[in-house]
Amino acid sequence: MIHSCPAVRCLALILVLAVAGMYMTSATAETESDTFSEDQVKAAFLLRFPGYVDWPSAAANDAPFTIAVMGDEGVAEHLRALVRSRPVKGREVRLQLIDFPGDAADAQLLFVGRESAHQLPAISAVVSNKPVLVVADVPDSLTKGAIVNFLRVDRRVQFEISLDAAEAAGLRIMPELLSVARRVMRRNSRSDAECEPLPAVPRLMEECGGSTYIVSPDLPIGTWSMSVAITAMLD
Amino acid sequence: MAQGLTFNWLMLCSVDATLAMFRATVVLLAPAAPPLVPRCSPHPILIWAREPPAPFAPAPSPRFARVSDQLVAATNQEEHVRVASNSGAPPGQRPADWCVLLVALCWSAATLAEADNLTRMSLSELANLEVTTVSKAPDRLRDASASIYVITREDIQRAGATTLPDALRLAPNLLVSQLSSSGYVFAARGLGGNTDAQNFANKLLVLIDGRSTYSPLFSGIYADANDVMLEDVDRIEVISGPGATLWGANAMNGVINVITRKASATQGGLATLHGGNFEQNVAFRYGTQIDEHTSLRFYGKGLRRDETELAEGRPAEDDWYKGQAGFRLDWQRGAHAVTLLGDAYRGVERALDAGKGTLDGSNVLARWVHDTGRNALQVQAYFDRNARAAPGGGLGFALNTYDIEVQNTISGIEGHRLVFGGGQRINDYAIRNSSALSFVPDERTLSITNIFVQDTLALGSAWSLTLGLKLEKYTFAAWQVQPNARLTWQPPDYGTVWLAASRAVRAPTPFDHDVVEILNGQIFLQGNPNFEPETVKTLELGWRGSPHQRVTASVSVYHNWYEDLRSVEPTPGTLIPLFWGNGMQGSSDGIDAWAKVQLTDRWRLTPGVGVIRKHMKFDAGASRLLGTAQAGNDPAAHASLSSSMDLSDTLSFDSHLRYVAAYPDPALPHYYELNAKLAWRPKRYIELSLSGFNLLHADHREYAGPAGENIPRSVLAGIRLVFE
Repeated sequence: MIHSCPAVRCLALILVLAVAGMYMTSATAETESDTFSEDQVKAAFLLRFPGYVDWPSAAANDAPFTIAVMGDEGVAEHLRALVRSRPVKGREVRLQLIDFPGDAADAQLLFVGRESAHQLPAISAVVSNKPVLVVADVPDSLTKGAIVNFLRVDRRVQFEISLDAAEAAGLRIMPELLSVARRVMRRNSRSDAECEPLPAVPRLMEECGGSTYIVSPDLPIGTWSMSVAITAMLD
Repeated sequence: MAQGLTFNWLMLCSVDATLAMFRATVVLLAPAAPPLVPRCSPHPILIWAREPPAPFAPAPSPRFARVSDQLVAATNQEEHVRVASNSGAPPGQRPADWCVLLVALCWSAATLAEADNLTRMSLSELANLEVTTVSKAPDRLRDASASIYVITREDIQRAGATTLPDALRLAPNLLVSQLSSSGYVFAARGLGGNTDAQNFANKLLVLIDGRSTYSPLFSGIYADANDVMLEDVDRIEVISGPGATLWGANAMNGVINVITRKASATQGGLATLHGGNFEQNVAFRYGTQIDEHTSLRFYGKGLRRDETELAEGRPAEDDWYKGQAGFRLDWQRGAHAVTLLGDAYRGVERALDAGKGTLDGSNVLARWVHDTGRNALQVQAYFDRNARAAPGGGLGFALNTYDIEVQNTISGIEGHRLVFGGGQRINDYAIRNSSALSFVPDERTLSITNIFVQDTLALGSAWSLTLGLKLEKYTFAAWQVQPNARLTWQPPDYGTVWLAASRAVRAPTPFDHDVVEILNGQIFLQGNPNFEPETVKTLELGWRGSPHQRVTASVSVYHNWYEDLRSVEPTPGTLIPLFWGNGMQGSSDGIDAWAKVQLTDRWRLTPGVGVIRKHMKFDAGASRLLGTAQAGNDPAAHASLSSSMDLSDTLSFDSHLRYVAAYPDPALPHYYELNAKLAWRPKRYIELSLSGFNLLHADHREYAGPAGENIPRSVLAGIRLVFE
């Protein structure tokens, strides 16, 4: 038997040292403190959202607050790390990784990652009219039943909200959350005539009547309270 | 076997999430060294030794001492190590070379602060935070310039697959044929072997969590030996076409990449139990979180399958059973991630008129990834041991594989995505020869060394160009150049169009090089020491896109030029012994296409088709023995239609219809077959199911020639339980 291990060992040595050396030259300037991955930030958002959402009283009790995650194990992993030390709405958090839309019905918050994008229609069928805060990371998901959808804007993680979907689910979203959203979508039931005053703030309203988007294309986050005030006025 | 175990230890301690990664220490350890225990150290420590330190402290114990000081002592013991490991038992029974890779996990209070920072931020602060690591896996797939089909865990569960080969049937760009109770053959884009010419399906690379599982002895795949806990699979990527530049050796006509979920995603308990007329199986998994950064799962599964029938109707006596167990540990902190996983299995298979043979194996793999978003470094090492023994002292082997790979991806340079790396694999084997089939010599050490570089250049907003090159050296062949060039066009709203040219090889194996077959006391066939690699040059054109909101589709057409394919040549004058030659060449053209159609919110159809035309011919001067059919007995077409239907919130019905055209030589008529599964999930915790396999015929054959048995219709009733 020709013994193989010394060769492997030598190679291992060379490779590891080569790589280590390469790292020393390529990455020494880098600091890693205070940097977070996209998945971490999404996980942090998911834990914050419930604080700005009112569930119907029937759904609020002292049972654990259930967060279900579908199709994004990266986010689930960070969530798991974060929920250890943090109750949500004063309740202990139970995290479930689910594979089937049917399993989402008992959750208070459902996160749908990109890998489960194709299941959104089935999910919205399962949770329709149930008080489940459906948060998605899927383009155009607000039209497919999601209440909140993550957006990637430059190197930032932001989100958009569908007030109609929230209303259908019986959830009330607080203005503080709306004000941070990149955009808020709602279907306007008012007639065109009632929309008249809106051209005064043209940047905030793309359309009036029918399906309406309130968009803030370039406004920095935080200046949004104004539009929320307008939304409230319309109501 | 238990005596004289020698151990290789690789300990990888990646400790501090800060700048500390830039130094590494490598320590060789000897048997007499004191127990090894890396404590939190400012840099990673890599330790490699032949034998275990006395008390085996299971991972992840933090009670390890610093070892850098022992370097000198360790190198002095080198000699002893070598002597100890040479004192083995006879071939076939020599001590198992185990490789135990242990990750010492270290943490500190500082890690808690990291998460706290994030949860303390206001919503506005979170929304304005610049993130470093942009999650890119799904994007990468959508943009990939290759014919890739992804089998998801959902697909596998819905189809009711119980073994890996059954799950692979779901890929439309792969032809899976069941030979016997335990035997399967996989082929992508043809050249699926021809048993009449002792040509195996040997042009695919199958990776399970980064571990290569094709057998280096003959380049084929033992489908019974390589299985996974299907409930823990994240996805299976099936790539048709050459993938050698990035994926490595043997990726000539395709790559099958099985990826299991992280341990953090498989928390809690799960048990499945199935019973039916042809198969009974049981599986369990339990996952737990050790601390904020560390998760662990372990699993076990057992399977028993009945015998099939020979073509003439007699029992084939090929029933078998197998048990398998394994674990996966994941540790992640900041940009660092360490994965440690392993499996062990043992099975018994009956052979016709011969009795019981055995198969067994074990493997362990460690991977460290440091991903800053701009730069991702991956270092991976594994050890794999597998052995088989035919009944009654017949042919058998024991094979050890040692592999180390390093890969670095730089995406921080504007307009470029640069990947480079290298690896070394050692296959160390001993064969127990039989009277009819032997390998001379009966033990060897094979080596594969590779280095590669690939860059993807952005050419404007819609175009990109990928240029890659792999150099690979095999024991039986000179350095092989395996380049690829891929041009990608992504016009807005029209999906992805790609054009690719590549070259890949199948390296000579001991079966090509060393084999000696004896018939009636005479040498009938002999390996060829001058056997050259079989090569392919491929040109592919593909499109992937979403022509309608409810439809995604992929089409690729290809042209392959094959050279130096294996042929059988006679000895001038005496005819025998025959020997292997490289006397065949030719081309193939074909199409891979599939679509996913969401007909309604609760009903999805997945049609797929593969068509191939081959034009093989012999080189001038070749003997033309056995004809060009020996290159591969491939059906001209195969097609499938999967249907996934949710009948209600708790009831689902899935079916998979497949069509395989006639095999030409040896002949086998075309066939249709159907699998179906009805599942009822009243609660998240329980699923009851009824599955049927090969429902259209009482029995049918899927493989031409004497190796293909009659595969019976089977039904399986099952229960799946989930515990928190």
